[in-house]
Amino acid sequence: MATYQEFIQQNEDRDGVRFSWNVWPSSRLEATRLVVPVSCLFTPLKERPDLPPVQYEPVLCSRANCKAVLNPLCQVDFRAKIWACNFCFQRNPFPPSYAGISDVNQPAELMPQFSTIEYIVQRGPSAPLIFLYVVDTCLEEEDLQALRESLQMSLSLLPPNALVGLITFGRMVQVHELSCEGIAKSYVFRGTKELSAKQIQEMLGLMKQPVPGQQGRPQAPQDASASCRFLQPVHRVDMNLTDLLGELQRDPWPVPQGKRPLRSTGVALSVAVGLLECTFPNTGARVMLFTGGPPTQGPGMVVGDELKTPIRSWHDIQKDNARHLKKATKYHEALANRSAVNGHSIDIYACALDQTGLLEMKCLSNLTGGHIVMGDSFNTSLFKQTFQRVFSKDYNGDFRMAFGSTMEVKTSRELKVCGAIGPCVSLNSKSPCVSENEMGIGSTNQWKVCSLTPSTTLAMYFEVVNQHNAPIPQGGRGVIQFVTQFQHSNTQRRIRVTTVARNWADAQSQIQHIESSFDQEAAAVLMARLGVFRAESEEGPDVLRWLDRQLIRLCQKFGQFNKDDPMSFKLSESLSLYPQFMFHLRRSPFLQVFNNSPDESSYYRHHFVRQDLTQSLIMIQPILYSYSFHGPPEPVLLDSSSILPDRILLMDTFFQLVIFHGETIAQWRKAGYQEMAEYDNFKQLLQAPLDDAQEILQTRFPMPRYIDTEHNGSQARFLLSKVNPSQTHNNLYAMGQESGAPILTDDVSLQVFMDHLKKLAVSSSA
Amino acid sequence: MSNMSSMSNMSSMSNMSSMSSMSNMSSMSSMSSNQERGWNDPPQFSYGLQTAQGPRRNLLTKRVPPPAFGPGAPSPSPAPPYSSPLAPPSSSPLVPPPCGIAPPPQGLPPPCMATPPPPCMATPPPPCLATPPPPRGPVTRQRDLGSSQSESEPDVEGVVSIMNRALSACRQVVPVQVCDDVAKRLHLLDVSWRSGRLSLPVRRRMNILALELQTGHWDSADEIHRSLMVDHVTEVSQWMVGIKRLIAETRNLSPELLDPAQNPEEPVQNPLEPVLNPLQPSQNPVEVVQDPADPVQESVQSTISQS
Repeated sequence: MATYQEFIQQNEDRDGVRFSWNVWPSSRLEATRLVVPVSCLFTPLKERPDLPPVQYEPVLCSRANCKAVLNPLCQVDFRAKIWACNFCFQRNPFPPSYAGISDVNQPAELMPQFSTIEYIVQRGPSAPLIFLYVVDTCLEEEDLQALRESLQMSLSLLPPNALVGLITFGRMVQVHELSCEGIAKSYVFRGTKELSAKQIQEMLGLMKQPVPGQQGRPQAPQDASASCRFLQPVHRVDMNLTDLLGELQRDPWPVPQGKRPLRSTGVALSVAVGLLECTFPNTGARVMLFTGGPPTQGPGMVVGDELKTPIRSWHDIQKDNARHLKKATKYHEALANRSAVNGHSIDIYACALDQTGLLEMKCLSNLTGGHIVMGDSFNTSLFKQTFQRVFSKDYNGDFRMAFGSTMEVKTSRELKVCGAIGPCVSLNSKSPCVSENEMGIGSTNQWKVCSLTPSTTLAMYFEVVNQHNAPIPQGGRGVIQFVTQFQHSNTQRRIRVTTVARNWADAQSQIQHIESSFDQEAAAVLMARLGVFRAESEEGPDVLRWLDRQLIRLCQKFGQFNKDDPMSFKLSESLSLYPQFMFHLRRSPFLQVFNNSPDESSYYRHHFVRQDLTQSLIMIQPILYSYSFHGPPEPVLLDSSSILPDRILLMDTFFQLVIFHGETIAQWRKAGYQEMAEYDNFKQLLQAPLDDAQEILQTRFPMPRYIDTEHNGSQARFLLSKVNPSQTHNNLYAMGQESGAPILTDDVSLQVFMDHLKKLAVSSSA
Repeated sequence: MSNMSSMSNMSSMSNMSSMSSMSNMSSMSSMSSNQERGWNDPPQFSYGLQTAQGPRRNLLTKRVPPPAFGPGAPSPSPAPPYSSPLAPPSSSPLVPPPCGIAPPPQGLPPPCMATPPPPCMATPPPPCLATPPPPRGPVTRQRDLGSSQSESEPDVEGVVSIMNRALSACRQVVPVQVCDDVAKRLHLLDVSWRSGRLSLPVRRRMNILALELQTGHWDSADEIHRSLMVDHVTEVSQWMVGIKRLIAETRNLSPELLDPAQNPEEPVQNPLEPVLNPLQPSQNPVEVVQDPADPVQESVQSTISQS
C-alpha cells in the first residue's frame, strides 16, 4: 500500500465508502478527543461496471440477532466446512450447496476483491415500476405546452411495461382513468377538503375489488394492472395518454385580478399517495409532482390567494409571521411518512419565478428519496434536460434508479451506530449495535431509502464503545457491514453487501498514525452534513458557533505550535485543506440564508445531503480553473487574487457554472479578435472553458445554471460572492498593488479567519 | 440585467452547436437554451450527446491549498500556480500586455499593436484543455447511418409506405382500435411531412427509422424514435407515439406475418442483410433477426454502434 490517498481512492472505487479516519482510536475517550467522529460517506449503489451480480442468496450468520452476511473477512475452516462470523463470533456450518468448498475453490463472497458484492434474489413475482404524474394546470400556456411535451416525451423514455398514471389539479383534482377505449373518464375531487386514505379509496372505487397486496408482497403485474384503471402499462395506453396530455387545458376557473390561482396541491398529493398505498404497497413507485406555484387552498396550503400577501420570507419566519408554515409542513410530513412506509418516493419539479412552497413540501422528497428540481419555467432547457436525466440509463441499459431499499448496518462489538444523514427514514430497528448517542437520524441500525440513484450517498456516524481503561487490544480490526436490499430498475430484488474493516490504534502512542489516516475531504463533508442537519432545527448562528468550536478543537489537537505563539502554528498535510473547507462552508448557502429565499435554502440543502463526496465538496468549496496563454488550464485559489485581466475563469459551484472573462480578455472578445485567422489561438482560448463546461454539464444532475459573464458584468457577482475576499475596498490601498479584483464586502477573509483560528488554537486559555 | 451576458452566451453556445452539428448531423449537438424564460438557462444537449457513453474525461476537481497553511507554511509555499501579472511580461514575446484598453479594431489592427492577443504564428502550443480532448466515444447508431444517408432528400412516400406495410401486417393480430389509432397517426405524419412542417433532421431520421423497421432492427428503430422525441418533441409528439407502437407491435409479430411487411414486391436491398444471412442461408434473412437474443443480430448491432 503506497499512500493514504491511494488507499482512500481505492476504497471509494471498490466499496463506495469514505471514512473520516482510516485508522480508528481504540477507546471512546480518545475518539471524542479527535473531534471529528468516526464516520463515513457511503454510496450504497455506487456504479460498478466491473462487478457482475451473483445469482444466489447470501449466506447469513445463524445467530438470530446477528444475521451478518458471510464476507471475505470471516475465518473459514475449509475442512470442517465452518465459518466464524466476524461480528458475533458464532461458528456457522456452510449450507449444503457449499459442500464443494475448499481453499482453492472459494465462492466469490470469500474473495478479498469482493468486499462489495451484489446478490440477485428473486423472491416472489417481480413488480413493474410505477410512475404517477401529478400535474398542475394553473400554468401559463407556454409553460403548460412545454410541460405537455416533456411528459409526452417521457413516455418514450419509460420502460414499456412500467405502469403510468395521471392526476391533474388546479382548483379541483382530477384522477384520470386510463383505458384503451376512446372515452376519457376522470374522477374529480374538491381541492379544499382533507380526505382520509379510506375515503379516497372508496371514492375511486378501489375498495370493491379484492384489495391486492396489502400484506406487502408485490403483486404479479397482470393482476395489479387489471385491478387498477388508474395505473396502466405504458405500452397499452401510450397513444391515449399522449392525446390526453396533448389536450390538457389550463385550469378553467377564472382567476380574478389581484388573486393567485387556486391550487389544490395538497389534496392532489394525498390522492396520489392514497392511490398507490392501496394498490401497490411495497412496490417501487414514483409520484412526480409538476407544479408552477405554491399550494393556495385546502390542506397543505402555503399562502393565501391574495396577491397582496406575499409568500413567507426568512424574515417572516424569524418574526414568527408565517401563518401557514407549521400546518403546511405538518401536513406534508404526514404524507411523506405514509409514502415512505409504502416504499414510494415523491419528486417535486417546481418551475416558477416566485417561491412555490418547497420549504413546506421538501420533506416529501427528503424522506422518500425523491428528486427536487427547481427552475424558472418548464420551457427551459434546465428543466427539460434535468427531467430527461431522471430516466438516464447505465452501462447495462438499466435505469439509474432503484426503489424501496432498506439499508442495514452491522458493526463489530467495539463500535456502535449513532445515526445516518441522507434521504432516508428510520426503520426503528433496535439492535445491540445501536448507540444511545444520536447523530442525525439515529436509534436504529436500519433505514428505508425509497428511491436511490447510483450517486445517492448517506453519511453514517459511529462511536467507539470501549472505555479508556479497557481499550481494544492492538492489532485487531473493527468491521462494519452494510446490507442494502433494493428493487433494481429491471424489477429484480437484489441485495448489495459491503464489508469494510479498519485498524485500531492507540491514540496516545500512535497519534501520528491516526492523523495521517485523516481524510479531510470526507471529514469536511461529514461535519457539514451534521451542520446542515442541525440548521434544520437550530438557529443559524448557533450552528456556526458549533462548527467553529469543532474546528478550533481539531486545530488544538493536531496543530503543531508553541503555546501562545500564533505564528508557530502549523498543520500537517493531511489537514492542510480542512480549515479552508470550513471557511467556505460557513459562507455557503447551506448554513447562510442571507440572500436566499426559504425555498432556495431548502433546495440547496436537499441536494447537499444526498450527493457523493466529490459533488458535495464542490458545493462547499467551488472549483475554480484559470485559462490563459501562459500554459495549460490550472486550478487556482478560490480567491479574489485569481481574478486577473488576462484570464478566463471557470467556476463550478454545482448549482451554477460560471465562465468569467477577465478585463483584457473581455475587451479582445468584444473587439472580435477571435474571428480573425491570425488570432486563432485566442479563439481556442475562448473555446477551452466552454468545452470543459460542456463536459460538466453533460453529467450533472440537476442541470446547473450557466452563466457567461465578464469583468464588471452584472453577473460577475456569482463569482465575486464565492471567492475569498482577500482584497476588499478596506485593504486595497494598503496592499499597494492592483493584482486581482477587490470585493466590496465586509465579510471576513480567509486570512483573517485563519489568523483568528491560529490565535484561538494556540491560546493557553482556550 | 442579464441581457448583455446572455446574448454573448447565446452566441457562443450557438457557435458550439453549429460546429458540432456540421460534422455529424444533428444528433450530436448542443442547442441553444431559453434565455427568455429561464434565467441563465444552460445549453441543451441532443439525445445522442447525452447517451454517448464514451469514457468520461477527468472532470475538473482539483484544488490549490492556500499558501499559508500548506505543509511547512513558512518555507516557500507551493507557489500559487498563476504568475503574477506584475511580473514583466516583456521578457516573453508571447504574453500580451496585462492591461490597457484595447482599441476598437478599425478594420484590421496592425499585428504590432500593443493590446491584441499574440497572433498565432508567434505562439507556441495553443491553450489546451485542462484535460485531454474527449475521445469520441462510441457514437449512437443513427448518427452513423444518418451521415451515410444525409446526401439524399428522404422521400415521404417510401417512409409512409414502409410504415403502412408494417401496419397491415399488424392488422391480422393487433386489435382494430389500436391499428386505427396507429393509422390515424401515420396519416398525421404524412400530412405534416407533405405540408413542410417537418425539419430536415426529422425527415432524415424518420427515413432511417423506416429502414431499420423494415430490416427488423427493432432496437435501433426504437432508439431513433426516442432520439426524435427528445430532440424534436414539438415537431413529432403528435404522431410519434403511433410509430412507437408500430415498432412494438411489429417486433412481436410472427415471421409469417412479418414477411410481407419486409418484402414488398420490389424488395429493397439492404446492405446489412448478407451479414445476417449466413447462418440460415435457405431462409428469409429477415427471420434471423426476429429473435432479439439472436447473437448474430447483436454482433451486427454492436459493430454498427462501434463503427
